[in-house]
Amino acid sequence: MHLRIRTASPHANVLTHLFAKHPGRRHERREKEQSVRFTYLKADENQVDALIYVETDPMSWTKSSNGPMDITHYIHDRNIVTNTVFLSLIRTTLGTALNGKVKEEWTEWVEYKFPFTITVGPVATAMPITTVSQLFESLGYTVTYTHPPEETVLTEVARKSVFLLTLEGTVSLKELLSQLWILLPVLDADSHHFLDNDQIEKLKRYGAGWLDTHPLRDEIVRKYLKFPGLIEQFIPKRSGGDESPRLNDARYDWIAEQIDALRVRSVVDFGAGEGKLAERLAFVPGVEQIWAVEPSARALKKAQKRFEALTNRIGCSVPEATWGSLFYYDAQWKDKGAIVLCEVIEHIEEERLPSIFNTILHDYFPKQLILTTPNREYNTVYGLETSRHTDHRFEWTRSEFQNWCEQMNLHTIYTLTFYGIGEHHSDFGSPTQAAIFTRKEWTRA
Amino acid sequence: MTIQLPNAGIVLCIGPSNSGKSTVLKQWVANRIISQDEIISSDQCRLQVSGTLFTPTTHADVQKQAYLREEYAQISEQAFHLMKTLAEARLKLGKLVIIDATNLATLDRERYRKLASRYHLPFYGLLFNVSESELLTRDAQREHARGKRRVQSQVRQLKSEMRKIEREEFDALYIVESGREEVTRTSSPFTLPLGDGLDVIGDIHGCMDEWLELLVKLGYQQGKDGLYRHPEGRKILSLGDIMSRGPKSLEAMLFFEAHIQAGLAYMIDSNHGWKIARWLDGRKVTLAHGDENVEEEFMAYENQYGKEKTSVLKARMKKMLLDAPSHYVIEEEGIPLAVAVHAGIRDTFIGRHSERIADFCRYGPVVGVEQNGKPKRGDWTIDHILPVLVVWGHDPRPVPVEIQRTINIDQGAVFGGKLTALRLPSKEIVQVEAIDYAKSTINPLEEWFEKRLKPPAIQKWLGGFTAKTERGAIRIAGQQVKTALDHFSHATLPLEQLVYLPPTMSPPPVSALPDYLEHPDEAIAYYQDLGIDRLIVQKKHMGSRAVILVFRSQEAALKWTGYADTVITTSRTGRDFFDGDLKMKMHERIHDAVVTAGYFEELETEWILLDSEILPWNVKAGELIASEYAHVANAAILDRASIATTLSEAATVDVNDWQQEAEKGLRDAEAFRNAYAPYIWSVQNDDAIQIAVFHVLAHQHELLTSKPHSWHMEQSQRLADASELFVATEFRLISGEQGKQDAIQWWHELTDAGGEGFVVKPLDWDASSSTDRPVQPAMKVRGREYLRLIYGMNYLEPEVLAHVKKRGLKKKQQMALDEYALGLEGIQRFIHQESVERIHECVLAVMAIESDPADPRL
Repeated sequence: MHLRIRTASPHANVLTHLFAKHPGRRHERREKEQSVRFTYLKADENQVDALIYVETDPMSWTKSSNGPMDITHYIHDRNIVTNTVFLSLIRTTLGTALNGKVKEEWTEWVEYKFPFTITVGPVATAMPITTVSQLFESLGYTVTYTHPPEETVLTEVARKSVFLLTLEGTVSLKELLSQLWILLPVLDADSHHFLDNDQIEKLKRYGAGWLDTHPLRDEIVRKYLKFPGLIEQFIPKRSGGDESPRLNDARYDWIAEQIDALRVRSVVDFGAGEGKLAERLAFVPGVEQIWAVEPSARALKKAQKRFEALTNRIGCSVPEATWGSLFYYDAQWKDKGAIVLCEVIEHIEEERLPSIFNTILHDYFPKQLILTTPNREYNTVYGLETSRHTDHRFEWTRSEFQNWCEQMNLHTIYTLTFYGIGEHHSDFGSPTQAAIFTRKEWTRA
Repeated sequence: MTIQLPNAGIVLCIGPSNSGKSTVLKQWVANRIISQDEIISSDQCRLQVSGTLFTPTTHADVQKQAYLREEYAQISEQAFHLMKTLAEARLKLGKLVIIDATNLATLDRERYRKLASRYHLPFYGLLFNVSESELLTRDAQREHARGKRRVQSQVRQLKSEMRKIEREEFDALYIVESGREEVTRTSSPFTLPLGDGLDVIGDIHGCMDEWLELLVKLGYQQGKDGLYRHPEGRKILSLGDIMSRGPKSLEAMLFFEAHIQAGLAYMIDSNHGWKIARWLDGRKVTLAHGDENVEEEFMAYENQYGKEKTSVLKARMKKMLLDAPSHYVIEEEGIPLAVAVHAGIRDTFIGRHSERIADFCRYGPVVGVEQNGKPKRGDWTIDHILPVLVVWGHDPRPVPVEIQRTINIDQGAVFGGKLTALRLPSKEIVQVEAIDYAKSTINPLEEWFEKRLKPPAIQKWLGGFTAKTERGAIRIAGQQVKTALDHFSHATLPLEQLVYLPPTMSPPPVSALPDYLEHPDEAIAYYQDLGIDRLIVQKKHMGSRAVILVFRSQEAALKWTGYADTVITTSRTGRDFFDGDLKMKMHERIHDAVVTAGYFEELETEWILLDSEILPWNVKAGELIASEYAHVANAAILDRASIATTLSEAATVDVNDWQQEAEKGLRDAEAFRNAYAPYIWSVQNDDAIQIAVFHVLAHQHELLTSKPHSWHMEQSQRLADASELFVATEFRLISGEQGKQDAIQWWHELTDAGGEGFVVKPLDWDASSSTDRPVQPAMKVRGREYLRLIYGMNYLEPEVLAHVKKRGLKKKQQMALDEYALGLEGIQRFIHQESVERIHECVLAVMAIESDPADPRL
């Protein structure tokens, strides 16, 4: 992690005062067990060339930002690339230059623009190079890159790139550093910096005078603040995407209506995730028991929290977050009122479904099975050529789905009815398709 | 008349006071027919609860008399309570209890009858019938005479109860008149002494040819009388269902009748036996499921020998079948060794009898009704806890495997499977192949193959479980189970396709050399110190571990896994190794190679299981390498090179030492890149992919851990010869000090050339037999440069090396041992065609152990 700042121009030597670093000495300080080093390579009347870098302590490799039990525990870029760690390490060394609180006689030079050439890096980023260029070019810099020797075998699969960044531009030292203080964390692929309201304060302070007019302002704010709660304070919320959140709500509403109309008392929601649907069903009158079944411990924990908040709510049957998986058999799901699979099947390889449905329909034997899945035909309306989600193993047309359901009902002991959820299109149907399997003795005449 | 007392159950004395109950029982104790503890006497219990034997109930004063009667009633109640509790305790333990009380009230007798019935034990009555005058005489002589009125009232009560008693459901009711009747004790009808050994035979179903073949194979010889005897005096025990479905039911029945009568064979009751017995008894039964064949044979017999002879024969056969007990408890030196039963038994039923037990033993538990109206059978084996082996048949299984101290030895002979004998006490299995006589549309052996693919039941695993392997029981904690289950619910191939997850491998203890973390010296010394000298070292391929299951055909794949994929390649965590087009191409080539190598024909197997490494590393780990290793190397090189160059331009200040440090860092970064570079090459052309096999783990008939590693290396070569896709694994056989030095030399050559290192193994898989300590199945020794990829580019800096040398191996070694045992157990279960649930138990256990937060760098 290093930053080299050069200028060849009249008054260049003023910079040594702006840095508040004596030109005849090298400077070294210990910061968090690392060596932060500053030295001039040249410092005279007409040119100043300064390097600040961190010489990492060998033992620092043994401390990882990844979990302690990760195979790449000792293999990480956290003390190599110019990330927030770098900025915090050099913060004190460059303190005067950054905040502009120089000795009074040099105050007028704080805003003075020098023709700088700076090299900083390595930068590790997941951003496309064109975006990186745009970030700096919009601020008037010329950008050049130093890439590592190409490894064709691996660049095919690389998720992020790494390079040194050379910027040329005429700007004040303070402004230069302020811009780096925001843009380096924005570039960093794995930024783990601690986020709080202080972050907003920093964004305002270092962004003053340039950020608001930057064409990529929103992008910068999002990347810098990371969390929606913080971002909202800068950028008003807007909705969008292929599947609007409203479709999700529409599915939940539809399922709740069915559960109500079918007078179901016990519901098993398989693949319940964080329990949002179960929470919605908890308020359906007549429902006495709801199980939110999910194999992921993390999701279950979130569901549990969600359900805890429901206790003591009037007219609510608090769901139970329960461990369960469709690939295993669990006798406790036998003979329930309804089993719900809401947007679940398309995440499972098609050839595995028959076994799962045999277990559900013929072992668990619910009175109703409620099933929803995307209707592929509707993707045309979204203008999508691929499936809606990268994890979808398949998406079916309405006739594919209906044929498949008929096949699953192999002993024909269920009556099948099909539905569409969401806005209806005369040619392509609805975005979501649904089926209800009703055990024949429960089919009302 | 002889009074035959049972070995267990309730014997209820019935008779007024003074009728001689206690006296007769005392006599039997003296004659050692019964023992004192078997008698529960009301007098004794009254004394025990109240301190007094006799409570007068008459008094001149009305109020006092009322009090005495109340007191008497209360004492009676508590005394009865005590008796019942004592009796129940004995019944639970399967012992005899003789109730010495008047038992004149219907209600009292009924209570005891129910008690005996609850514990499925016999209920006998002993009626003491003594004249009134005799009773009065005896009463007068007593210390506390009951008085004339009470005696007379009891006599009247007995008289009025007599007809009821006669109709009550006693298994036997004896009348004791003189007290000098002959008395004997029967032994348990369920006990069968092991004697000189027993050969337990599965369901014969009229397959007489196969049965006689098996008898000869077992060493029985036919005598002049036509009977088969074993030279060592061994006896035959049939698990029933000797008839029906097959061709020679009558012959089989005659065989057993003769051998049972001669004391050479035993047979237990069974569903077909019971059905035929009732049919022979002339009851209205529907003959189906092959029972109609028996009827035909009897009709043919009648046509040949006439009605009379046939009815005599029928009576004989009926008697044999009805005499067959529901089960036998095979004892050695009075201690049960095994229980033989037809369809199943509960632990609480063993050694007992009732209609319910008899039915259970014939059919097994009924838990519901299938959609086709057939009874749905439950699994009783999971409830079997008693440390005694239950041998059963009835429900054919492809292979006789002992599971939780139960073993099914019906291998579907009549369905074209095998006829099985289990030899006791050695537990040796002897089998003969059989012809498919039944030609049934529903073949239970095929049904089993479908049933075994059912999704595993989850509840018993969720809170943690113990997996039993040949190498001991392994406890898996609940939290880890859930992590593993989450993994199998999201990321892996179908559970049916997962047979084996490779075990983790331990590195050696840290090197004694100052600048090495791992060195072959410690690994070889580890084995040599355990007295294991014949070792093999195998070059470690730096690729990705892959387990490859190859089926001969789609039909075979469907049968074994429920899916038609003929090649299944899994990563070490059960994920699909390849995907998309590459998967299709690779699987085709793998299948071709195994076919070309000739394994399917040579081994007569439907599948073969390979343990391998697939190269290059980036086939599977491309993204990991690109985003971690290559990324870090590139970043570090860019950084240090740039810093070093910049510092070299310093004109104002001397930063020479800083520059040197940066250059040192650059060299480390370049060494780091050089450490992984040899393991990466382009796979744009899939000819670039190579598979190095190092174990041929198993095929349909055998776990190949019985072969030394040198044999496995030959197989690796054989596959390499058969296909360019495969490469042989390089290895050296070593022993002794010279061997060690040679190995160390080779290791240096390998690692100097950029190799990952090698793996040291005992030449024989199961080396633990030569020592009483657990032996690591293998130990990896990784190269000095390679370890930069694990411990960081500068791990050789003295202070870093000192830090990483502090690693502990205990946990890793235990994990390696447990996972190894579980892995082989899972394959064994697959070979035995056990259920997916049983196989997955092992796979799940390995994954659960792996999810334990141990240091993954080891």
